Amino acid sequence: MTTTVTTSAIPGQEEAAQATPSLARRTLRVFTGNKLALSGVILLALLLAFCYLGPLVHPTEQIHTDLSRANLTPGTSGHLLGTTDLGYDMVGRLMVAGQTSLEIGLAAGLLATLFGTVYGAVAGYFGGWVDATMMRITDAALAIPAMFLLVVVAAIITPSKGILILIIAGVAWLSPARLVRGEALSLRNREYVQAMRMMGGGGARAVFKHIVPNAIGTVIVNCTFQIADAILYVSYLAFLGLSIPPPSADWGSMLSAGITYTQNGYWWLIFPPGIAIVLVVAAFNFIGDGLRDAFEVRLRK
Amino acid sequence: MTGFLVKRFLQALVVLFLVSIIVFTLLHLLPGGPARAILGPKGTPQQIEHFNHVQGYDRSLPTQYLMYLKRLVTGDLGESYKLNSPVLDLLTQRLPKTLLLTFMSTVLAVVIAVPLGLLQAVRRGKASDYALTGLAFLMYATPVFFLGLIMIILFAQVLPIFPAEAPQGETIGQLLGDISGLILPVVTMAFGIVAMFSRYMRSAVLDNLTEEYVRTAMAKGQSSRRIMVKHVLRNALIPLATLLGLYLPTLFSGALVVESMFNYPGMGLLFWNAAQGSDFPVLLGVTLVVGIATVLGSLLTDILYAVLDPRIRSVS
Amino acid sequence: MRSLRSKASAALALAAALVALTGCTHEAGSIAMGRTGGTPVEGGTATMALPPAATPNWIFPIGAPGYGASYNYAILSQLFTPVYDAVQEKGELVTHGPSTLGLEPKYSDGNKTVTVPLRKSSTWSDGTEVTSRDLEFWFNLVKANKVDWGSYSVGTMPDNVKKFEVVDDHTVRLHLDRAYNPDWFTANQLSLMRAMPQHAWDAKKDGGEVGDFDRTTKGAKAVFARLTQHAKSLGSYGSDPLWKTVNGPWKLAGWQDNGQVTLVPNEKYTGPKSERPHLDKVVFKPFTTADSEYNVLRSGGVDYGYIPPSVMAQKEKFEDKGYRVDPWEGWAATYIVYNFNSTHAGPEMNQLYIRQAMQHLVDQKAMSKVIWQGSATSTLGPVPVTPKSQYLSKKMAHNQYPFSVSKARSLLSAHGWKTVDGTARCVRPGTGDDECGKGIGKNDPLTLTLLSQSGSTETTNMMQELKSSLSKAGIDLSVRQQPLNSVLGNSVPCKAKDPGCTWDMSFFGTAGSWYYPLNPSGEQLFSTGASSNFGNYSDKKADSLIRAVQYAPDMKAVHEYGEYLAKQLPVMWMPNPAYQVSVIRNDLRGVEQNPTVTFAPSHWYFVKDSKNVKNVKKGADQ
Repeated sequence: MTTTVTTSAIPGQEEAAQATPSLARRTLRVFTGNKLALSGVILLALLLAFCYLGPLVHPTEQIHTDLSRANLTPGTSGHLLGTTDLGYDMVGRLMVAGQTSLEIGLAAGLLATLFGTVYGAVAGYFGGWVDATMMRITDAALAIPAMFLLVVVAAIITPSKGILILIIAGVAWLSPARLVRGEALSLRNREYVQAMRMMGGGGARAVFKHIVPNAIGTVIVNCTFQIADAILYVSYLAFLGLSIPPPSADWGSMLSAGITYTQNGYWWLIFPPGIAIVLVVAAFNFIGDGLRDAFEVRLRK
Repeated sequence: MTGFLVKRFLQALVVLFLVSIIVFTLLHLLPGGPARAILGPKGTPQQIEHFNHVQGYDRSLPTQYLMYLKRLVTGDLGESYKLNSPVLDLLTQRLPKTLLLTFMSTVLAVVIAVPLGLLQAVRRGKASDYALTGLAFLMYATPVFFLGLIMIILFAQVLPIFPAEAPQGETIGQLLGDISGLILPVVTMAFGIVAMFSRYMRSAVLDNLTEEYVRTAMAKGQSSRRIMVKHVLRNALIPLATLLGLYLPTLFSGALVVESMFNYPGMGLLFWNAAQGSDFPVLLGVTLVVGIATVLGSLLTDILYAVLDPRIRSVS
Repeated sequence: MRSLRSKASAALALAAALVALTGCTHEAGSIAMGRTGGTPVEGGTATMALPPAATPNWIFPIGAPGYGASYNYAILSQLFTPVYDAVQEKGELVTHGPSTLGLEPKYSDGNKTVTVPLRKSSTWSDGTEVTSRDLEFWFNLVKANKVDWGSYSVGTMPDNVKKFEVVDDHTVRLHLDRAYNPDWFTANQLSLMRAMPQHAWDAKKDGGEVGDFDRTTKGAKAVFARLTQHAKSLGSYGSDPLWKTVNGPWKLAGWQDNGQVTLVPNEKYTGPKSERPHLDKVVFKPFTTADSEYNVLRSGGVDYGYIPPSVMAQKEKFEDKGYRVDPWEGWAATYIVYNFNSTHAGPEMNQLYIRQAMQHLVDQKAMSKVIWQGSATSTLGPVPVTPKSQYLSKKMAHNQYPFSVSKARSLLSAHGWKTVDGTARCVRPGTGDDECGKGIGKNDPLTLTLLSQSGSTETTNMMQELKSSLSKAGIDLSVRQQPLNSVLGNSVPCKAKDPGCTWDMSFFGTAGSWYYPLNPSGEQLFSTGASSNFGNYSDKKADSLIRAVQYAPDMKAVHEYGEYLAKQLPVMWMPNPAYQVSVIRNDLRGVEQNPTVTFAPSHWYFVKDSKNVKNVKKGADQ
């Protein structure tokens, strides 16, 4: 659930910072040359189209229940994937639920990256006791495994879309924070940052003007993985009983609800949302991996 | 070296202290405290007041925290509200079982991931690399509980080879005595780890391939197999070993889900049940133990690193 | 937060379905399905699965607050015979019978005095006779330590007993602080009494002399503290000599750390013959998750288990394997609490016609059938409709508010509400008969917030269904799902404009909202200011009717109370789920599923049908 290792193994961050137009073009070429990355992009585009354009093609009732049409098997009276235990059309529900999953994942991933980046940059830039204090806090938060934290949170929190985003960002910001802090530590000794300090440049300015842009490669790659992880977290939270309040749904809550009926053989309630989660998370990972390769300069030689 | 160790140890203590504060605060966010949950809807206001008084919930949060720390120093983790036994006893029963599950899964994962990662690196850019990389990402993208469900459907139902429930023995020996029951939980847990480790192995091997000494060895005309095993693999494995320490929280997270899925009688299941019943002393106790394990893990990692790579000492 | 368990259980359940599909079925038993009958055989071991989160953890007959796990009481009643208890006689619940120590209580002095005669033949397992002294011992301990007693609430036992008089060795007399309804007092107060072995337990410290220490408050506190200390050591229950002195039909053979309890017949039992055990051993096996229970049940590891309601659709599969599927109806009411003091919707909640309109929109029948798969029954008022009892009048069995969207709409429009853009708004404010009512302003919308327990698919679905049908009459319900703890913590009685008083409705009844003692009086639920009256329902007539149930001399009072509240809708009545959907081996007979969630394993027996037994056993090996 953490991508610390995979992303920390990026050797090419510094080079990315000095990106020139030709380098950017080369980066793009490497990215598009990566078949996995390309298939990730296509997969994601398809999923987005399914979730956002699908309801226009296939409009369904997703608010009002219809107990008389509950648990219909796939193919019955126009329901390609059957209906849920409350009579919602499964295909239509996958579309609207996908919107929620993607939106929460995107928002949480971006929020985590943003906060983590600033946190790590500040710690790394200032160093000394500021760094020590800030890093002990991340150490402490990392020492409690995410699932243990989420189990407790699930037992005390009333979920809503915003709360879910905050919770996920709350456990996910640690990895970008540590990554960017490492970057910042190495950058702070660079001449231009040193020079800026001597000229009396403010701390905040240095952080935002130099350290963050210089770590941008790392940050972008990490952010892609963060979004993937966030979508995974959405499903874990649903498994723990914490999901968006009905009648809204996300793929995780659909999967968890479907598992209740496994023994009745209602496979159509389980596999479609489960596979959707796997596909979208994998798509983001493919893209992230491609991006990382693209930013890597050393190996391209 | 000693100075470094002392410093790292003190840092670890600070982290543990912070862990206990985080968990303590989080638990006390519950509206009305655990009294309602323990006494149920029939609890009278008098009983709730009495419970809060006896358990100290009517005092200020800092006071409660200090009381908790004071008892903690004497090794007293309190009593479970639900199970009518000391938390320490529960932990000593359950921790070894979780460690067993984690250990077996990690070993299995490493055994699979190392050759897999190596293969990917060697075949970089070829079809097999894409296939394996794609597979690894698909594994990574599968929520552990979905994976567990698929495992149960496939290997306990469609082909009823393994039991869908972990062994329920009281001792480690009894658990190991029923090895077929351990297979699905261990494999489920290992799967998720394989994906991460093989990715790590791939990039570590790739990094090493570009190092000077490998080029030198190649220039000297050593066989590529020999180079792989003697230089690259060894150099990639050392950091992998130390990484295990850092991965403990992720491993414990996985263990929690797997234990809940397969009813494995470990600490994760204890924690899960305690959360359902607002059994605060158990929740605090488990989190502390997990926190200590994690902090010890990263401490060991640091020491290992320091031993292996003297440069770290001066930097840190 | 049952979700994980039920989901995982479902996962394992799929195993069952698929295994069955792959041809691993068992021959049906050759005996007819049934709860009773058959040719009994003596002996055998029965294993009963206990539900998750109800691990037995208390043995001392005076239960500490928080140790109310449903089965504690049921299990310790096998060791320490209750004086009065809800026992089933010919399908009806009554307060005494062969399995109780007390005989018919006699009320006198205008119902201000009750005389309790005890069964004479009863002895403790060490040979000492069970006498009035043992009851007095209980009373003294409870009186001196009432705050540490889980069943205590102010004004009831022991506060309402002015004097405890020992008449003779087998008779005690209680002088009460006022006149009480005999049925209520026996069912809900005397049933709390226990005989405890004074001759063995009345010591201030371990190994100390046994004396009459309970007769002083200080002594009673010390004795109580010592006994509680022992009770807090679960691991030693099986070996602690204290718990070996019993007078019930069973004695303890083991109590494991995980809560597994093994009972064997008490060979020194001197009670009525009908209460002597047929089985050699009964094992109560706790499960931390329902999934593991399901798995073990499927493999034949338990004789008496349970399945989640969603598996009810697979009933035949179990019957084919020689089990009966038998929902265990609970003696309970299930409801959504209305917050009459809600800052936001208090005025609306206070209007009977709005509550009536909302009740008309609860399709209890469809919910029970589709969402609970037939394992729930409609709640029509405070008195349970099933099983039948003397507390239920004919009128109460009739649904006064059947599902009807049109009736709900006309109730609202008749009182000045008009639906605009899907939301009902008050267009005729005022207090007249055809106006919205006091405190409801012009254009006020009918929007409500419901706090609902999370973690159960059935509950989530019920609330979605409710939201959907309320919207048909323009009532906009937003459901906030919270963990049970939070729902209970947030829906506390409050005053309007208090910061915590913004909730309008609250539901915590996934496993039934309220289990009654034998007499379903609602003094803790519906009387003004009562401790579990979370929504502050307050109605003068209801108060006086509830008082009558407690104090009036006859049964009429409980009928009037039940009929009045069924109509007044102090809460929104919801489908009442079964306590559990039991799955019982068909050759295990004599199992009464007592709605007050107690059991009588003394009555259990296996029936002769070696073929069937073999089949089931064979199933266990596979």
